[in-house]
Amino acid sequence: MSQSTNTLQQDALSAEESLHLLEEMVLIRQFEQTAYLRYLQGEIPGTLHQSQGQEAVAVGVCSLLRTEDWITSTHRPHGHALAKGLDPAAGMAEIYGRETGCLGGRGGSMHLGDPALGILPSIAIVGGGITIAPGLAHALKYKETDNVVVCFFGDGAVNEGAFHEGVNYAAAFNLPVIFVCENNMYGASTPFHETTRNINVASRGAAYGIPSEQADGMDIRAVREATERALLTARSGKGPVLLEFLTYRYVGHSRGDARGYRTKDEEAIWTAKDPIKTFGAAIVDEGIASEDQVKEATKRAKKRIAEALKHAQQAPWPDPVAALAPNIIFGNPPQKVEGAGPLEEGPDEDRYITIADSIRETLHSELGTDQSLVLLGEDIGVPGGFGGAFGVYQGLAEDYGRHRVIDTPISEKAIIGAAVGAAIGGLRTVPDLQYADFVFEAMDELVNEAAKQRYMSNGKLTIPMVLRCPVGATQRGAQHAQHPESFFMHVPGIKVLCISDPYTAKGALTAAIRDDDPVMVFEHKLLYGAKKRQEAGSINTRAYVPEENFVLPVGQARVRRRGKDATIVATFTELYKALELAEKLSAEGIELEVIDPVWLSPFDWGTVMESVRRTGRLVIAHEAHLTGGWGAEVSARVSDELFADLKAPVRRVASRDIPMPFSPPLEAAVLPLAEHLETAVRDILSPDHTRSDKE
Amino acid sequence: MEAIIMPALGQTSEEAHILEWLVKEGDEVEMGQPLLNVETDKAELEVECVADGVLLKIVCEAETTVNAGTVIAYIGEPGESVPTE
Repeated sequence: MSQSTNTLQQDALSAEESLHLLEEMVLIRQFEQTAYLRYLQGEIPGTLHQSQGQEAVAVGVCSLLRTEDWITSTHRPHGHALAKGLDPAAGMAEIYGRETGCLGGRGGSMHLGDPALGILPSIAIVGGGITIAPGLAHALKYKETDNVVVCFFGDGAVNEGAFHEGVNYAAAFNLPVIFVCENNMYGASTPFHETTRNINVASRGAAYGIPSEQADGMDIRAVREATERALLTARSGKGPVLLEFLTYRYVGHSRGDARGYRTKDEEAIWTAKDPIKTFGAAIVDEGIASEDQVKEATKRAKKRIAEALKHAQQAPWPDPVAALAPNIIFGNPPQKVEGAGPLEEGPDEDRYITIADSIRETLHSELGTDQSLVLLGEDIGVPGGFGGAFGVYQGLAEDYGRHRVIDTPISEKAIIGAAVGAAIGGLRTVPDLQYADFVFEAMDELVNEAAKQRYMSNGKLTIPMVLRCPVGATQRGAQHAQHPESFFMHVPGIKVLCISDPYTAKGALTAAIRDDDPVMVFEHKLLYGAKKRQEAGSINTRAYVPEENFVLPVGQARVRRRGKDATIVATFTELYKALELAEKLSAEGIELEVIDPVWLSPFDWGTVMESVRRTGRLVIAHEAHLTGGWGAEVSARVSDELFADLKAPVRRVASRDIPMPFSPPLEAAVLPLAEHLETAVRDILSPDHTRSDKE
Repeated sequence: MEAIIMPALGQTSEEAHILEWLVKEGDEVEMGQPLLNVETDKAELEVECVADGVLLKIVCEAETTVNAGTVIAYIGEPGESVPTE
């Protein structure tokens, strides 16, 4: 860390540049003041987080950036967005919630942005941008540009886990990120010094081996000097820099904050350092500009905001129907599909392969055809290493290089944040987790960023990311056994794929990789068939798979076996139990229809409904826990839509609502067993609620 | 011309009591300038002017209590006529 050396560069700043900087700062102040007063007048919905007093940081930093550089911002983004070039009219209309807002009213005050200007819709989760910024920077570097990402956050964010993971990740890969901490001394009302023993944020750079600097955030020239040095480092391939600017917000954290936690004396000290007044006075004192020129610049900024206000007040409200537009939610909106039939036999015996082989072939081939595709994860490319969890990635790094098969730190938030950021930046990313249980480390990146950024951006961004997650109980206890797929079925904006056979693995995974939306792929450890990782209870799922990659429709279910008496919808291990049971009951003259939904989102309702309408009976089987599992959703919808067709209640077979124990007999007591499925099927085959006499 | 409404400033109550007006009808006012002092259940506060112009009319005088959202004054260009109740 080095303190800001006061090498005076103001001589280099012309009158024109100085007045421009002043005008931009006044623009932000006036925007904020106008919004505040109009908010009090009841014209603006929701809430506002404002940045009066912090203008020198926003303008000082952003005045040195190119349009092609990106910024990420926070719940307090107005100043950053305006300084990076957002039209004040589009910004004001957005916080008014109007159709002409920069995001069509989908974002609002806390998410201002415009990807065309390098402004990511701002992230209102404290620290949330710190794991996304390295990914954006990865894309800029991968494309061999010298553009950078500036990641703004407040002092509160440095005590988030995201700060540690994101800064370390950027440092480990020498990524061009400038981390800018606006230290305004308070996280909402809590003094920063009460929340940490080390209040010197810049000193934390040393922990990650990166240059850092603390500077006066009330002095735009000091901000620019520090930023210039940081840009020199970041643009020349030397990696990230941490900047801390000491600043102060003159207003409350948000509306209705009367600032009772600060003293008048403290506020007076900082008011005397007003970045606009001090800079305006300085350029007059130093003879750089005249008082009249300063007044003119101020007047120009105020006029621009007056026009912006008028625009926002008169702009139309968005059409409510626009909220539902499928092409805003998804880059590739779900299409109507027809369910696939049973797996077919192939001509070539060599082409009966395992799921692990099928996934490896798929990735190998896609890496060959799409230069923008990268894989990220722990232990996936290290020479002599694991070749990814369950050996799926064996050999890929040797063929495509470790810059495309990237070994990451064990930092799930950073891995997935980077994958999301790089996808936004124009790459296609396939991150993986060694076990699906680790996904909970990165719920923010998935649920708040991957699932939301396209919608918040009003459809301007795509996030082509495929996250691979191995699921299933394999005698490893409660933290290496879970089935989180149902969680993500609940999240609009994410697609959920469950792979249970090698043929579908290739077709659906190829489709997922080529899809423009985030897809979570769940794969069962007992179905992989990987040579080196035979597990107790493994199921042989070998099936015919063509050598060339092919695409199956996103959202397509597969009817694995046709039948007329009852329908079973099942995934993974339960799918194979269902197929076995169907074989057994066939001998008794009972024909079961077995459907693998393949995709939980978008879900192939057409195929399932058509089947249940015919059979009138449904059992849903999954290894995920019973309560709140995806089967509950299927049961609810089928019961609703097919009430008149059902001849028996819908039954579910699932793991008990108990954490998965380690010991094999205990594990078996929690898992759904074949006999449970058989009992459920026999149960629903007996009653017929729709007729008085038996068929 | 623009109607100035009483902002929602209270914690638990919509009511605000006008203590005094800091400007009089006909005065020039500018955005951010304190127009009046009010008392709510939370505190004594200033209400700031939302735009530049002239204070055309005070609708709610000092020593009255009004609900948030009530029009308390009009500002605009000199000579503009104010709507009559």
